[in-house]
Amino acid sequence: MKMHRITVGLLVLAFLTSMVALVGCPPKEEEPVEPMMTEPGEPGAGPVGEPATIDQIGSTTVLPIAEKWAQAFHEKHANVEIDVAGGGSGTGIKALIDGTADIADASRPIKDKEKALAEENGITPVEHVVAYDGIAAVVHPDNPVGELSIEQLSDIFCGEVTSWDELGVSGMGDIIVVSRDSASGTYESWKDMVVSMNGEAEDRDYDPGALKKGSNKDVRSIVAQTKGAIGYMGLGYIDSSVKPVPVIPMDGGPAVEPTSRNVQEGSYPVSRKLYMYTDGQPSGAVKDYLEWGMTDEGQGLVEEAGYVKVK
Amino acid sequence: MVKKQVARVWEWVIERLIHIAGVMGIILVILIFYFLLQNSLAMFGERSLGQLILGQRWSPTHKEGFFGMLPLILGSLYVTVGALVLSVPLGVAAAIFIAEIASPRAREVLKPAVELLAAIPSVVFGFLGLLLVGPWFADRFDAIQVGQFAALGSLMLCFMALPTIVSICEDALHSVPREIFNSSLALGATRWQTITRALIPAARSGIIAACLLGLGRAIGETMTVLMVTGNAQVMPEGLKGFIKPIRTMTATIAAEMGETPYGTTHFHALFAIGLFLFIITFAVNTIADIVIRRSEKDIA
Amino acid sequence: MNGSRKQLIDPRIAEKIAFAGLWAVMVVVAVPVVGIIGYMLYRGAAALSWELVSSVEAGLLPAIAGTAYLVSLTALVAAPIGVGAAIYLSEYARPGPLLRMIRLAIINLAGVPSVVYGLFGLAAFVILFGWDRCLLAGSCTLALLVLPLVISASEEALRQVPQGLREGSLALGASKWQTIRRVVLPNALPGIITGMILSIARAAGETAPILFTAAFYSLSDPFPDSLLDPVIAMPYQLFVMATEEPDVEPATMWATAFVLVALVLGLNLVATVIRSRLRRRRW
Repeated sequence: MKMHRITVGLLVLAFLTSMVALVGCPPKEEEPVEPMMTEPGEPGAGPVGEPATIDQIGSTTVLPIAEKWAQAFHEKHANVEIDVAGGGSGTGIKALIDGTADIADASRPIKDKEKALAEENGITPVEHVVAYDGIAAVVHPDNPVGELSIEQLSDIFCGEVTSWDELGVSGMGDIIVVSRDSASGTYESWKDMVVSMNGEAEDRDYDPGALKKGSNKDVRSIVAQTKGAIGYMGLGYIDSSVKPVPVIPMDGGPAVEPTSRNVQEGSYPVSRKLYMYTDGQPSGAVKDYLEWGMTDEGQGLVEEAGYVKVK
Repeated sequence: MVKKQVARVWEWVIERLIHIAGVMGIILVILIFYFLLQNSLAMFGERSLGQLILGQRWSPTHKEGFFGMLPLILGSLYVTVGALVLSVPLGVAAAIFIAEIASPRAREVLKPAVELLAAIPSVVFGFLGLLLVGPWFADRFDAIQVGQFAALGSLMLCFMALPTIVSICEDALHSVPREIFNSSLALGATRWQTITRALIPAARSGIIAACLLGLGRAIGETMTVLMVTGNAQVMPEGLKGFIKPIRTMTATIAAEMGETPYGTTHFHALFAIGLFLFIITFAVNTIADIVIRRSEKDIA
Repeated sequence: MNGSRKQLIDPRIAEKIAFAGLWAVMVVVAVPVVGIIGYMLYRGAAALSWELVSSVEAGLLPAIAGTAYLVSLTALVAAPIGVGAAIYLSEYARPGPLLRMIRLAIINLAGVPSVVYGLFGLAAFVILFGWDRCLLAGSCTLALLVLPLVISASEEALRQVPQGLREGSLALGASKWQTIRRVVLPNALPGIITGMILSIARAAGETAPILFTAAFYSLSDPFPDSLLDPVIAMPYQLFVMATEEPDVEPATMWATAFVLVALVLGLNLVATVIRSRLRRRRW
């Protein structure tokens, strides 16, 4: 009973404070629209509308795109505030299901389990493909390995092969496997496309001895400083500190370099779509925002972030 | 008259509130235990206690869901034992130095200085281990293949457990009656002999309690181990396990709870780890308290 | 046994060696505090500027503000409960099993791992009370974490008030509460405030308890609008910079770490100075 009263008291306090905060700051002054800046007829760039806030949460892979989009869109439409946050695909979809986010960023499609959970909460997730991404295997820059097949990568990541010598690469010692942790869409995608080889080896899972890192950046820094390490990351995160390895597809053929062009053409075997999910068909500011993202300008930012255009 | 009565009622209310605040500590311990238990109960329905604690595989997102905590328990054990091996000798020695060798002035500076070490946030130690100390080790020693490993966690935790150990040890040494010290010196023993043969035995319980509290601190540390131990949920093997990546219980909770949907088996499993941690630290702290009490009685 | 050992090495030489060893240990223990801060300053110097701490876009202002919100609210929640408990322990409690249990509970609360407080905050404030991840939930969690600290510091301060003052007040006809309110508390206030500063410093450096109760990483809307909005905090910002955020300049990270350590140690230093002044005070 006591506890309950304290709760109510605190809630009232919180409510009052938020009211004060709301009253305290007057609505943002709408910046005068200069007709020169906006092309009439472009859907996302109409006259200044109602002030709106879009909460966007999810995959750290999609994060660079979302950040660039949010910034550019806000510059055009001062009335729309976009809150972008990372946390992982699972986190984003969870937030959408809980109703705390307007857009969930994900680097994997929504799972059936999540869909069911969403429907229980009266939420209908709608999928928007915003970009393509390739996931590249990366090694230390001094590693002489020239190419790896999907099978070899699978052996490495499930712990069957533990030494570079077994792969005919000498002088690199034991293989240090670096993986993402379970929240990441990259973890899931790499597991599906590489570790379990698109379903050919269903029961294969990551070697529990693999290092688990929370982000692409963490993976990159550990691979860059560890001689025998191999990790995986989105194309957008590759820089000169690590060396991407060309991959031989499952059905054989020459090894394919992990480059934007190869992903767009569909020849690079470990590529995926990047998604944003909304509850139902988007409307209002969210609709304008997502539509704008598909324009040349939005897709240009996708390339700038190191990913591959949808069109 | 009325004013006086109001004052009396007011006083009565205030005193009740103070009594409630007084027992708040007990209420909180019970509440924490209750919430941890309530949220992990569902787990005990799905897996037996043996499967949870002795299971050798932790793969919560696998479609079958493996919730074996043994690798995590061993991971915590390795890091903690390593931390104690480093911090107990250092801590006891530093306490002896501060209590018996340093001048009173130096003591007044040194003790707060060591205690300041405790104030450095754990995320800062993690940051240092991740960016500086770990790569340094990996560069210099071939046996250490990657700059994130159990002993690195131990090393960082050592510095975090030190203030607790030094501070409480020093209190224990300081409270040993001076007569013991003086009579030993009078019998012709050197100061060092007095310290090792008379002082340390007299302060023994206090020193043990200090180490236990250091243990409690090390086993519950989260951010540092999350950042520097590599988080690989393997069963550590022998001594070699110290230079391999491992994963502790605390790091598992911190790394996974953020993205685990509420109410799932995985969610309950993480609470079960929390419950287990709570029970361990409760036991360690209670034993330490009993030991301290006994030492106070010994000295009195 | 003693005799045989004595013959091996001259006890005076043994003492010299042992004392030299202890000196060395002291250096190993004391150097990190100074070394860490100096090294951070050295690595972060390039990025350390007024802009870093005062800018929203490229700086730490949101995190500093978030930490300020979190710790002030924490102090607000923890102070009444903690000081109340301390008054109970020093003025009302009688020795007995209840007092023994309270002491044991407080010792144990101080030893509960911070991540377990985080779990409790998640289960109680975030889920059961339905507050979601927010400033209020984080502050309440941190308040529980620092409660043992507040209680023991306040109790020490109260106990240092001489018994004679209480007796004098009671003899003049004041009631017990009046005595506490008008005589004991004002005299103990500096000590209690010291305890609060230490608690604030502790809360400002904690990451694990706010990880699932308050912390949030957002670049575009960094300030909370209400108590029910999530916040960014200094230690969380450092954690994200070190492990998640792509392409942060190393100097910026080191400078952030330096600012965090300077903030926390600064608070501690203030408290330590006040405390040592108080201990010297004569009644």
